[in-house]
Amino acid sequence: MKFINFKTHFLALTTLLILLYSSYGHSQQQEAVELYAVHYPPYMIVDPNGMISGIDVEVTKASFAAVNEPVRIVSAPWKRILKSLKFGYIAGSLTCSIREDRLSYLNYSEKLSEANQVAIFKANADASALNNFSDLNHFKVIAVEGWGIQKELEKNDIAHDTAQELDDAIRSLIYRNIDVLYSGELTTLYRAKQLNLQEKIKIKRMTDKQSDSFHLCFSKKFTGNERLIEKFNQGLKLIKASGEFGKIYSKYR
Amino acid sequence: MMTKTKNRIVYKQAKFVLIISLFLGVVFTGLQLFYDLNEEKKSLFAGIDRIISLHKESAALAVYNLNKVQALKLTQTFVEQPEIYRARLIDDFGETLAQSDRAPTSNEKLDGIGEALFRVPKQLEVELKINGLSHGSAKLVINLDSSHISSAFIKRVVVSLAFSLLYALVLVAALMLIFYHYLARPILDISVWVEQLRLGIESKKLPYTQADEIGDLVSGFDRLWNERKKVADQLSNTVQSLSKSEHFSRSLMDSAGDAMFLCLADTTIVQVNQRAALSLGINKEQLEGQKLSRFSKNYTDESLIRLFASFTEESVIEFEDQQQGLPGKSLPIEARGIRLNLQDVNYVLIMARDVTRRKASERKIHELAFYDSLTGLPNRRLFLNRLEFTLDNHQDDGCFGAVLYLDLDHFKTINDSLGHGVGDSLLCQISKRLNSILPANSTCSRFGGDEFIVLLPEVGEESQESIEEVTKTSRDILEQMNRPYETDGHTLYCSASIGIAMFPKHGEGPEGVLRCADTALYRAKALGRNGFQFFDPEMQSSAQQRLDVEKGLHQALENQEFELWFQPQVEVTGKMIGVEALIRWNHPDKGFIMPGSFISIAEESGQIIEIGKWVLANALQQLMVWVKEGLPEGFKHLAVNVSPIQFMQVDFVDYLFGLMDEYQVPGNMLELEITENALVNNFDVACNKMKLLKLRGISFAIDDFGTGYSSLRYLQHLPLDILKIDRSFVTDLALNSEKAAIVEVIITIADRLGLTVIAEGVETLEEQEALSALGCPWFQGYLYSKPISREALYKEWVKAA
Repeated sequence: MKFINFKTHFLALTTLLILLYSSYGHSQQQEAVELYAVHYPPYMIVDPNGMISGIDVEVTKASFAAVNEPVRIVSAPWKRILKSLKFGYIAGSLTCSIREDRLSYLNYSEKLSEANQVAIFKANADASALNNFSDLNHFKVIAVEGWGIQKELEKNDIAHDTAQELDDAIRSLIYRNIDVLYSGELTTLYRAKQLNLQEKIKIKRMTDKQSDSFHLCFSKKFTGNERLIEKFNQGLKLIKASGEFGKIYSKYR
Repeated sequence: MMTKTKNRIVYKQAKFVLIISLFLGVVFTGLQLFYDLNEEKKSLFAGIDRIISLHKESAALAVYNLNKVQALKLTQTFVEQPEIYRARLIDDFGETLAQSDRAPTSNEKLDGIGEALFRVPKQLEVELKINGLSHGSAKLVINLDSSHISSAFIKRVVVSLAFSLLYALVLVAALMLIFYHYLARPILDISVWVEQLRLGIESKKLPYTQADEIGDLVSGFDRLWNERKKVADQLSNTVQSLSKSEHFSRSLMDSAGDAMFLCLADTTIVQVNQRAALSLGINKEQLEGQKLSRFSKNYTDESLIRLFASFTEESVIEFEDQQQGLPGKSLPIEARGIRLNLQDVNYVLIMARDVTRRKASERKIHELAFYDSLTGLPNRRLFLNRLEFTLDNHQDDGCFGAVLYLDLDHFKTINDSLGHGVGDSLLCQISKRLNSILPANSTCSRFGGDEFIVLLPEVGEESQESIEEVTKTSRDILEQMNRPYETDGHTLYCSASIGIAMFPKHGEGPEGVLRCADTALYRAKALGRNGFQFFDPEMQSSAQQRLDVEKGLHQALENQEFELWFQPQVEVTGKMIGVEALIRWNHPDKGFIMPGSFISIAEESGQIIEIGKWVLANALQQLMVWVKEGLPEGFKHLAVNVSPIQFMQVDFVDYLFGLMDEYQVPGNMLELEITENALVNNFDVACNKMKLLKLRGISFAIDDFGTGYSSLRYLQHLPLDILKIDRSFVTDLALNSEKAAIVEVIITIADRLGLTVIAEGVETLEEQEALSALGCPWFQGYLYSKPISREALYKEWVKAA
């Protein structure tokens, strides 16, 4: 019994010391907020060495830096990021589109960037038959598995194939019997450029499709998420005002 | 002879082989299955671990990516394993990422066996490590199909057991065939062969001739059988011969003229022949089992067993016996016995011949040879035999015997006048009378004519005693002879003369003794017949003297020849305290005869009783006179001697009391002197009589004390008053002598018992002084006075006092 009592007291003392030390550190140097990103060029680019860059990454860093709020960008699989947000395990993520099913657990910042969901054809393909979203039904469509736009296809009962990665989807479009790659315009062009396949594809916007905006999203379960959104929004305004925002955009066009 | 199937060796062997092989099969199959089970478990779990290990990283990656498609493929891969019917991937958020199922092998029993044997968990959970962003542990959950796992194993178990069983059955069948061929069938053939041999069916062909153990057994048995058969045939022939021999022997036994008894050593009869049964009047069956001694008059069981023990196988021992069968079936036998050993048992064969006729003849011959045909008395030969035998015996023992030679006086006259028939009848009566009065051990013989010879083999150990005894017998004979005889209407008177020879004094050898007796007989006849004469004149004189005393005593009482004399008894001062009455026989021819010369004869002849009565009556009468005349002061008593024979007479007390009443004599003045022997021989009677007499005041003195038994017992218990010290202790008594010591002891004893002592035979003053010094108060003897007449006593002592 004496040993248990001693052990209990030791643990309590240790915990107290750790808490005190943490409070002291927080007051001296604010801990950086971790925000998650995936490889979604050009908005978020995760190179094989783990280095993360991209439009949204740089805008986010710049915005928080403008309000003196330290952030750290780390990568993880997208579905894991979303699910972690849903469970409140992480603070937030970059490049989130606003979807109705996400509203219940996410809070969004001001628009970080935007993306146009377009139909991508082979460069020599006839894209004239496709004008509206529903026209996709007449094409053999592919989308990246798990992405929001793939969900959109499912939601609208548009038959389609999926690829695990965007690169696969581009290659499938060019080299397989896929008619249309339904994907983001910038993202697809960026990857095609990376794959040196930009000449083999062409973009066609659909008349009934508006551009989708991307936001910095925070888990509602994460304490302080609203403060962080407010900070970000402040910083975003600041960098837009300072022209830094434009500079970042211009780097990736 | 047919053996039941279950008893056959083949069946038993097959049964045991089957049981053992099944048992061993089950045991070793069980061990093998146990080993297999462990190996199977290891293999099973190793396989599952391998699959999991193979796909663990993929699963972790799928979970990390939350890639449901990939996860589903993985779970499907697991489910494709036959041991797994369900696989599920649970992400680190606790939600199922993918799950694949298939229908499990449905068998609840197998599930139970599988779980029991393999201890298969229904579900395995494997934790997946997620690299990077993770919020807990992901799991791969696998459900194992235990029915499938155990069914495979159980199939192998069943197959193994089935093969074990099959193996056992095949082995049993094979062994049965082998055993039957190589063992059971030969044994069966051998048993049939042996049975045939037993039934006498002989076959020259052996049932088994292989050169192996069974072959050796058969050939060995065949040899043994032939040897035994040969022996058995010989034995059978022997038995037949013996049977014939036994029948022959039995026929011989039954036809034998002698009774035959085959007995055991303890005389138990085992077998008898017909003659034995007839002679005893008991049938054979009843005789057999009885003890032979039961039918013997001369032998007890023990003595007959001893006799049997002396028998040998080499020689026949003869003995005689008197056999007693049924009442009236008694016969003398002459038996011959021999020991036989039959079948290691000792027997005794007795052959008994009825010798009734021979015995009768022998008796007749004996009678003719040794007895007088007229009187039946022993004849001369037998007499001389017995006399010779007696003489031989007396060579060492010192006893005296006598031969009395009788001759009837004037028998010739009777014979001549009344005829030989009357004479013979008289001789027979005389012989009967002689036998009736003679002692049992004597022999009365007739030598012929009117001569009878009597042998008295033992008449005494002392010469005088012997003479007296022979004299008495002779007188008895003469008395008997003198009694009249009634013969054929005639009353005859007869007397005899007897010549007596004593041996071993007279003559040498039987004939010598007879001659002496014959010589004495002639002397008796010469002296006037009807008398007897000893061969020795001295003996004759002694006998005559005794006869004279005895005859004189009769006359003495009748003729008043007895007188009482008195001797004073005094105390130390010389004062008379009493007198002792003493008898004297005043014989008309011989003068005064002292008591010592006639009392013993009177006691032997019984005359002492009358004499004693005379003494008592006269003594009391004299006492009465003295009492009337006046006795001196201090006079205490008159002492009277009483013979033991008289004292023990039944009427003695009454007679004495009658006299005391008649003469009015006070009892306290009468002292009876009796000898120790009278008391010791009849202690109780004497004691009672003394106590009765004591009631009348009579006192008692022990006469001659110290010479007899001197028993302290009667001193203590009898009502005595005086001890009379015998004169042998008094004569020449001196102090410090041995006699003085004895006298002192007597006086001391008397003193302690409250008795008075008187010494008799005191003749000198020295004796009196010694006695006085030793404490003796009273005296009697010549020192004071000889026995004197009543008149003298009265004059010298009473009046003088």
